[in-house]
Amino acid sequence: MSEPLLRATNLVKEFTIRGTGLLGRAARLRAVDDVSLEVRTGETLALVGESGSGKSTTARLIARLIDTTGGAIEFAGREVHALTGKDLHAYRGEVQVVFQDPYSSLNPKHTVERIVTAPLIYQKRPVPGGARAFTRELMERVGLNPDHSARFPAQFSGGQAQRIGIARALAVSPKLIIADEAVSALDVSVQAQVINLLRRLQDEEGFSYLFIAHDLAVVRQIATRVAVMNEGRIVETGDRDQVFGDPQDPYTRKLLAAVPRIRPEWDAARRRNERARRERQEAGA
Amino acid sequence: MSTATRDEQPLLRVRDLTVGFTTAAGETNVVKHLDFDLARGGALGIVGESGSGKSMTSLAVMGLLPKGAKRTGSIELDGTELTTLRERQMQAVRGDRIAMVFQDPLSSLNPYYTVGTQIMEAYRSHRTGVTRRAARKIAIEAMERVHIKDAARRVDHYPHQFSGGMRQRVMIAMTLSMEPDLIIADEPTTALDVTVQAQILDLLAEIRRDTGAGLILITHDLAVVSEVADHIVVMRDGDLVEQGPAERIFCDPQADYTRMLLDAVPRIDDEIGLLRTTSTEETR
Amino acid sequence: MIRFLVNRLLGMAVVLFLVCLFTYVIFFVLSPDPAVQICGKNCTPEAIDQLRANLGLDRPFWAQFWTFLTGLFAGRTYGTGANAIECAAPCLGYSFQTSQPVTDMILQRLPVSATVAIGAAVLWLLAGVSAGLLSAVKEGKFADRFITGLTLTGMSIPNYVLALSLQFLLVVTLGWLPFPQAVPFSEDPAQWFANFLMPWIVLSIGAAAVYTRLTRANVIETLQENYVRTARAKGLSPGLVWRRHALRPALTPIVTIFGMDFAGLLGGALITETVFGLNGVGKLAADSITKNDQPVIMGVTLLAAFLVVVGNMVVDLLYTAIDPRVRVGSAT
Repeated sequence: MSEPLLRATNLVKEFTIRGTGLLGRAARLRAVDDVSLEVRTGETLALVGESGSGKSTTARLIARLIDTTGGAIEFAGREVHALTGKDLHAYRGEVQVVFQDPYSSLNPKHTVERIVTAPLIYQKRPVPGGARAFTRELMERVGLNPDHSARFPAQFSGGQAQRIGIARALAVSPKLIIADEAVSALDVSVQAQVINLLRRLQDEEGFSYLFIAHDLAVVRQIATRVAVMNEGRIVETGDRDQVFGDPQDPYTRKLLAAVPRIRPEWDAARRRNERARRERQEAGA
Repeated sequence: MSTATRDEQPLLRVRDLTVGFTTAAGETNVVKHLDFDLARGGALGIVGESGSGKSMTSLAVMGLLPKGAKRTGSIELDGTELTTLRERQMQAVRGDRIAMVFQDPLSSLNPYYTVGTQIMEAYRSHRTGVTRRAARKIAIEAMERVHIKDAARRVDHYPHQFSGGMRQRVMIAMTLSMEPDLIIADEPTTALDVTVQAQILDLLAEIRRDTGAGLILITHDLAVVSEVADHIVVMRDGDLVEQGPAERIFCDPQADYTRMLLDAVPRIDDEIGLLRTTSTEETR
Repeated sequence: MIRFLVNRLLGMAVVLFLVCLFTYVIFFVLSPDPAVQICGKNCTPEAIDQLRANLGLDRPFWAQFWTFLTGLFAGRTYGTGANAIECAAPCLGYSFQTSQPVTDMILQRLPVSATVAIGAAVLWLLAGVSAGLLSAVKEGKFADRFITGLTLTGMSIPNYVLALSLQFLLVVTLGWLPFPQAVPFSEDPAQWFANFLMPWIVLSIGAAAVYTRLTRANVIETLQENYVRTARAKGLSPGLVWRRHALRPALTPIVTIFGMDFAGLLGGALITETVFGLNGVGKLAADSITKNDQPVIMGVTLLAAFLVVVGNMVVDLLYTAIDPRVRVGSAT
């Protein structure tokens, strides 16, 4: 196995939760507690957990949006913590984040063109083929109508706005995309479309995902490997089918058992009925 | 009314329910000509994506629509027409005969009062001549019934001292204290973690079993509704797409929209492949 | 809880110390030499030096500041020998122009300022909160728009314009109120009340306008809260929903700003007291500024700062008592 693209070792993040007075010790909350993980090139590592598990904090540490309390992050062989100036700039280009709420993470006063080309301009990189053509191409790739490049985020539906967020991440051709609950706020039909899009883009581009989510059914559709977090720690890591099919940790088992499910026999019956319907239609036609 | 007809009569009978708003752009209906029945002791699931009108339907039944909303059609509870009741009479129905559980338990509880006070006040406003002491006992019992440990002490705690799941239990205890005929739960587990969701769904099932109350579960989650409801109404953009027994809806959906929804749901235990979706997404 | 209190008190002490320091720097370092002013026109450099030595003005800044601070707690003596002047604690300074300790001058006038402040506060609280409630109930209707218009007027009229026009209208033109003359309450309660009525009105109008708007906004916002919907879903009567679930959360923030506003007003209402000839702390400040009586100006400034800091503290404690989220930590 080759060197992983990203390797986080013994990550720790503590927050001060109270005690800002002159007296009294500040209480500390350990949101991320000794977390180690690897993301390999071209794979999707899903980080799952319930609220307060520390999964989003871990994502922010890796994106260097907040500083670590302890531990090391290595990306493509370089120590992320030590990056400054130009190197840090380059890192921000190689690692992109797609957030949960597309509307609040896109500037409402900017057009799609401006939003999508902003990462390049911020990095002082040329826009290949000019801003207009570049935007049109990106919009097509994420399944948006390229004629809408002069529109504002509010003119798009939730799923479309999330596609804009994805296009923005793609603009700098990143090696790693951190999707932080990127499909959680979407309606189920739109969610399915965005999941399909994320998978297709990965097949085409070969980048990696760090996919943060609380929804295990969604994770199962997209992950190569899964890391389960609980109370700041990773309790289990493994290949997707192994974690879902043969969970080792009691917490993982509890989590999986709690997922509501449509009865498999109902699904089977539906598929039978669906086939019968199609056959009837074909026979009729 | 004889007992025979009473048994045949559904607990809730909704006919031609339409909810509309008058805006600058004109009249828009968010619920259109909705018909459904809820059998006595039954569990009805209303499923739909955002903007389907499912929450407006529940508020229309409660008579709690926002200002400016217009409601037409008929809503009968146990043979009593609710739409023609005066506000005062409707107050007697709310909480007492129809109780409601909302999505976000933290913001749905008043941060300034203990949970006990909030459970008691419903009881005391519906039952006259109840002493504080008696109401408090009812509150503690209700909290015990939703499995809140140490209820006698917890009754004096404030909402922020409870976890998300415990707060939703408090909300359910509030409805239980009144022994309502019908509980409407509007996305009761959407704001909760999956393990907590499972507990709350179990609790709702247990309460139905023990009290025989009817349940309307409003949700966007097809898996959740498949576990809870025996009858399902699918809504989209205010329209009734289709309705029927749960097994029929899940095994042999008739409407294209229902089939699309069922295809789009990611499964925890079924094949993994491209999720089937409709080809186009709506444009705003 | 005790730790919270100790923390707050310590913080307050630090703030008050800084206030003292800054005020002292402004008045004694950046202003003209007090010795020159005291000495008068026909003064020799020797006489000034003598005075400076007497007053301790020749000592380094920190030494002078230290004397000032200890004076606050233990009193101090100005000069030496037969000319020595005793200034008892809390010594805020000594006015050489009037030959009185500043503390005494302030204490004499504090009751008048307190009367003005309390009356005005009661008035604006009653008027502001009730107008705000009415406005919120009638949101969008005529009464609401009328009240909103009034508040705009109330906020934009300067105090002195209002004071002078009220005086002209009520006393001179209409003759509804007697001409103000200072009488103690025990002697002629009616005249006493009439004296204070106009300052109360003048001072309360601006604040009442602000409180009206705040109350209105808070109530309307609270009515949108999910827990108000829950209260209605429980079948509570509209009155109960209002009283229990809308008013308390909506009025809590009012307590916060009320404490601050009231404390600020206790420190003297400069313009209003001057216009109505009320001998309060504000008038004292105005007079001292005219006469450039620096120890008095500084004393009044310190008092005002002290009141605001204490007011802030009281508000914090009140808030803790009112809001269970602050009072009781989460225990999950």
